[in-house]
Formats: sequence, C-alpha cells, structure tokens
Amino acid sequence: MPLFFDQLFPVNAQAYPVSTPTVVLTGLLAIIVVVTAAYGLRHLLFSLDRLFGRQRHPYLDVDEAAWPALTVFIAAHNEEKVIAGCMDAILAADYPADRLKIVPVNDRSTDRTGEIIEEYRARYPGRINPFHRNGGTPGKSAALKDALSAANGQIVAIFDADYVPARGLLKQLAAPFFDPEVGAVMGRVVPANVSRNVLTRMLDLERSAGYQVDQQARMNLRLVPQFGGTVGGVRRIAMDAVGGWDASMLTEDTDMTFRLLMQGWKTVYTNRSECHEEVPEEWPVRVRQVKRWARGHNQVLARYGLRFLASPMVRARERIDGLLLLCVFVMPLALLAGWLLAVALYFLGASQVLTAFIPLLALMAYSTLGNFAAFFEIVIAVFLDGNRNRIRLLPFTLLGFFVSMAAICMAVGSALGDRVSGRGLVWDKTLRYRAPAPS
Amino acid sequence: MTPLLWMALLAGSALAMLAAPFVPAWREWARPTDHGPLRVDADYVNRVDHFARELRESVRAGSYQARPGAPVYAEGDFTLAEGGRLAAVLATGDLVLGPGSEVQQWAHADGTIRMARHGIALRRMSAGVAIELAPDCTFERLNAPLVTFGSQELAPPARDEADLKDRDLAELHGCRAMAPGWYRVDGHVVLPPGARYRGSLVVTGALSVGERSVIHGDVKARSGVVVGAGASVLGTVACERSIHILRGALVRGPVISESDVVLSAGAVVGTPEAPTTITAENIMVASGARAHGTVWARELGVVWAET
Repeated sequence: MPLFFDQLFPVNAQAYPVSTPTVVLTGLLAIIVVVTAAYGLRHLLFSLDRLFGRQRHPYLDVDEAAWPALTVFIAAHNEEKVIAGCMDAILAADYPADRLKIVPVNDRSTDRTGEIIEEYRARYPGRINPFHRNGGTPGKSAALKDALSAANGQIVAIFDADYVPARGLLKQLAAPFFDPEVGAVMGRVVPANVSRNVLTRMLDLERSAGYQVDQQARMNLRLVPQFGGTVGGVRRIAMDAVGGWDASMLTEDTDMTFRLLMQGWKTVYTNRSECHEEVPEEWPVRVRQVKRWARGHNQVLARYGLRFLASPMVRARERIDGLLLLCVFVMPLALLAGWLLAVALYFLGASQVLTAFIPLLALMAYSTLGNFAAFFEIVIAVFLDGNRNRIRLLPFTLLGFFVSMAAICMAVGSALGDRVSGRGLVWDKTLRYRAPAPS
Repeated sequence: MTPLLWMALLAGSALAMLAAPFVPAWREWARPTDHGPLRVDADYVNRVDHFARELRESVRAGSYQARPGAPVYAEGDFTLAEGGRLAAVLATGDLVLGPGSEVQQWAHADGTIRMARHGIALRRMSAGVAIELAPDCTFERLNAPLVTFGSQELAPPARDEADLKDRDLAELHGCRAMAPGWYRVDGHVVLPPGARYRGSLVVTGALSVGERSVIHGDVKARSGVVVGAGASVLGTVACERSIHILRGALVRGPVISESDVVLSAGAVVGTPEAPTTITAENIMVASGARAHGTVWARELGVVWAET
C-alpha cells in the first residue's frame, strides 16, 4: 500500500504515517468517489445526448393501423376530487371505442369515489366498466393485480386518477406495441400545479429533467427507460410471462421494468406523450413519496439485482445503466458515507489524500443535486422545454437534495427495522389537492 | 491588514459567492415570472388532414379569402400546371399536379391526387380515395386508402398457402421463448422459402424471410430485415435499421424502421380493409409498389422506376 501513496503523492508520501484504518477508509472513499463520478458522467452524457444526439421517436408517426384492443385502468383510492376528470378525458380519447375498455379500479375507497364511478357507468353504459375492490392487500400493485381479470385485449394502459390524458395520447401509447420487442411504454409526466409553492416548482424542475432529458436520453441510447406505473402501458402477454403484478412490491413500475427486461422485453419512452399530474404540495407528503420510492426501488435491487446482471437477455449497455438505475436510491447513503469518511480521514491525518478527493467528491455531490436529476440535466430540460426564467430556482434544489437524502436514509433505516421486526410494508397514498369535481 | 481581517474577508467572499446564485432564485420565488405548467394540448390528435379541415371550416364560416400565398381552395377538381408551385391546396374533387410541380406545405383532395413525374410533395399530402405518384416524385407524408407508386402493371402474386410447409419458430437455432408464441433469437436468422410460421419473432441480428414464406405474427430485427419476394408478414415488420420488402411481398401491419425502407415493385403494405403505416427516415419505393394508409418519410421519400 505505501507504493500506492508513493505513486499518487510522491512528495507527501512520507509526510504522515500510513495506518491500516487510513488505508481502508481511503479505499472506501475512493470507491465512493468513483461510483459518484460514474453517476455524474452518466448525467453529463445524457445531457449532451439530448443536445447533440440523434433523437429516437420511432413509433410517433404510426398514425394509421389496426389499433390493438386496449384496456385502460384508472387506479383510484379515495380520489373523489379527481376521478371524474380522468374518466372524462379518457372517454374523449381518439381511440376506436370498440377497441377500448375503460376500467376505473376503485381500491377500497372510503370517500365518494365509488359513487362517482357508478354515476359514470350509468351515464356511459358499456364504456365504463368499474372494478370495485373492498378488501385485500393494500396498494396499487395489489389492486392492479386483482383488476387484471377485468382486462380485455393485448394491452393494458394505466393512469392514476389525477391524470388528464390528451385526446391523442392513447394512440401514442399503443403505437410502440406494434413492435414485438416492446413490453411496456411510458409517457411523459408533467406537473400541473407548478405555481403552488417552492416545493412544486422544484418538483417541476426535477420532473422536467427526469423525463425530458434522463428518460429520453436512455431511449436514444438504447439503455433502460423506466416504466413509471402511470401514463403508460404494458403488454399483457409479456406481463403474464414475467408473473404479473407483484403485490408485495412497493414500486410496481420499477419491478415490472426490470422483470420485463430480464425476459427480453423492452420498455419504450415516448417524450411527446405528455400528461399532466399533481405533484405534492407539502413537504411531509413529498417525504413519504420519496421514502416509498426508495424502499420500493431498493426492494427491486435486493430481489433482482444479481439476477438482472446475470440475465442473458440484457445487452451490456443495459446491464450497466440498469445497475446504476437500480442503485439510484442507495447513492445518497453512499454520498453521506463519503462525507463521513472524509471527516474521519481528516482526523486520521490523511489530509493530503483528502486534498485529492474532496474537490471531486464535492463536484459529484453538486452534480447529483436534486437526487434524481443532476443540475445540468435540469438546465438542459428547461432549455428544451422553452422555459427560461424558472431555471433561476436551481439553487433551491439544494434544499430538495437534503430532504431527499434524509428521506432515503429514513427509508433504508425503516426497511432494515421492518426486516428485523418482521413488520409488513405500508402503502402511503399521495394526497390530492385539486378541488372536488362538481357532482 | 491583520490576519483576522484577511480571514473575515475570505469568509465574507466565500459566503457572497455561495449566496450569489440565491439572489435570482429568491427573486423568482418571491415574484414568479415563469411558473406555468408545461403546455399540453388536450385536444391534440395526430391528423394528416388537420390543415385541410381548418381550411374547410374557414370556407364554411365564410372567413376564407383567396390571396397570393394563401392555401388554395378548389370546389371540385383542380389542376396545377407543369412546373407549378403551391403552398397548400384543398380540392373537393380530384387534384392533378403536373410534371415537376411542387406542393410546399400540404395538399388534400377528397377524391384522388395524381402527381406526375418529378413532382415534389413536401410535408403532408392526403386524399379521400387515392394518391398516385409517378416515378421520380419525392414526398414526406402521404395518407390515403390507396397510395400507388408509378405503374401498377405488375399483377399481384397469388398468395396460396396450400403448398407451404408448416414450421415452428421455436426450432430456430438459439431460440428463446419470451412468452407463449413469442420468440427471440440472438444473432442472424434466415427463414427458408415456402414455409409457414405462427408466432412473433425478435432477432438481435438481421432477419431474412424466405421467398413465398408466410409469418402469422410480427417480426423485428435490430440489424436489418429482408422480406423475400412473394413472402407475407401478416403483422408488423420493425427494425432499428433498414427494411427491404422485395418484389411481390406483402406486409399487413405497420412497417417501422429507424433508418430506411425500400419497397420493390409489386410490394404491398396494408390492405384496403386494414390500412396501416410505413414510417422511416427515408423511404424508397419502386414503381409498381403500393400501400394502404400512411407512408411517412421523416427525411425523404422517393419513387423510382425500377429496371
């Protein structure tokens, strides 16, 4: 090991004693720096690809075809404020009515959701086919799994009840399924309640980067675009082949993306298939959302990480990107560990080592601001969307970064606690803010 | 200056640099200037005749005014002379575009559009009955129940499946099942002539469908697809690279390529009962081919007289 220091720092190598803990901690820090650098470079690559790369929209121009039979699930748990708007939008969709089955999935609602759905069933006989669920395992995965028996046709599209799809969206989501390799399709989610407060504005920046840059770049580079569980669809035969929805998973979308990929099915992202959604307006709601994502994502990592790496159906580039994607909710912990290691090394007298690592670590920490969207991805996304002034809010994403980091650490802690205590997973529903629809 | 003052100056400068980006952030937060949601057009539908519909509405509403450079509205048939140029035209009858003529934005006819040699159809062209493009025409987006390219003298081949030999996709070398009836092969695949397959096939290399073979399903290959002469694919043909549909071959479903599509003479895509879409960066069509539905070249479509 002294050789390592001699080579790296020939002048200072003898200036301080090299103890075993220093060597171990330095090695760990080096690993963390390399991994965070990999994420930083990945985000940079994605940003450059969106600016200068060839953009892939291979299915967007399919405007005439024998459209496949499509079942649209509207996932609804206590959604009285928004369910009517979603059903109205899907009823107005430009999709052959005889090929479209609309199934609002009323999952154990205790408000007027079921009543509103029944009103629509009466008003649109044959077009609205409700699926009421009064018990069973809580959560969207479990509800969708049960509702699958009500589906017709080859494709299942899923919308959360707060989404209002545009008229042409269903065809845009159905078109990629003409490609026999496509197992799932994901559209772009766009926050509707941007102007509410600083949190919603930050989430707007984050979503914009996540979809406009990150997802589309992964599509362009033939990596692993992610199915998001809403504004998307899944091919039924593919879903059946990988075992259907898994009710034990907190993030059914990530779970489905990876299980499909391991079986050779691709997920396609269509950036121009935009749909408005509500983002959390309160920090506690946001924290719960991030915790759920973190727990679910890490659940997929633990369950399928090794199998994914060993799958013969996955390309090398997908393997690397998929692994980075799976570990995205581990990285804030790694970053935190890196900072703690840096402090520990300082007190162990290895300041010369830190001099080399700290700028890189700081750069990579900066590049992962916002946790899900590096700052340059946000900049490029805002640029591509044609919004200019909102980029001024970029420094505030620092706040979101620390909140996310705390939420993810809590999620990991509670996951470990649950494993020890044997407690089951708890589904947290995201609150809705829209005013109730007039009855 | 004392060391203390230097330290204070350093700390102050560092803080000022850290705080500087927060000044515009704070201003934008306190007095928002750009806080609307990204615009999503709730009524957006991808219709090739969008502008024709708008023009028809304006004619009905009485707001249409014919003036130089404006779209032309023709009640009944309309003929554009040799070498003529138009921005846009809507004809309620047939539309005849003379040799070397050019439509720069869009053209729609409720009847048939006939474009003579060396014509240029930029952007969109749609018709209620048919579009007939002569050799050496170029195009971008076409849509009609029937789109013919050049001479249609070649008789369509008889598609009799009686003498075909049934084969199983699962027997292909290196085949893996993705789902029941859905297969993937890593590498290149050459399907023999005169065979009949049922199921869908994904190939990571190139795929060649043998002459007169029939596939009851969809096919995709990442490195190229050749649909042999007289062969039929009754579903989609998709490819990340080029697709060649040879003489007399039929594809019933969409033809989706991320680079080029080449249609040979007598090749047919879609059916009158089930029109479909051909989409690619470049589409090269030999005289004698035809399609039902949309033919959409993102960069350039060309009709040539195959020798």
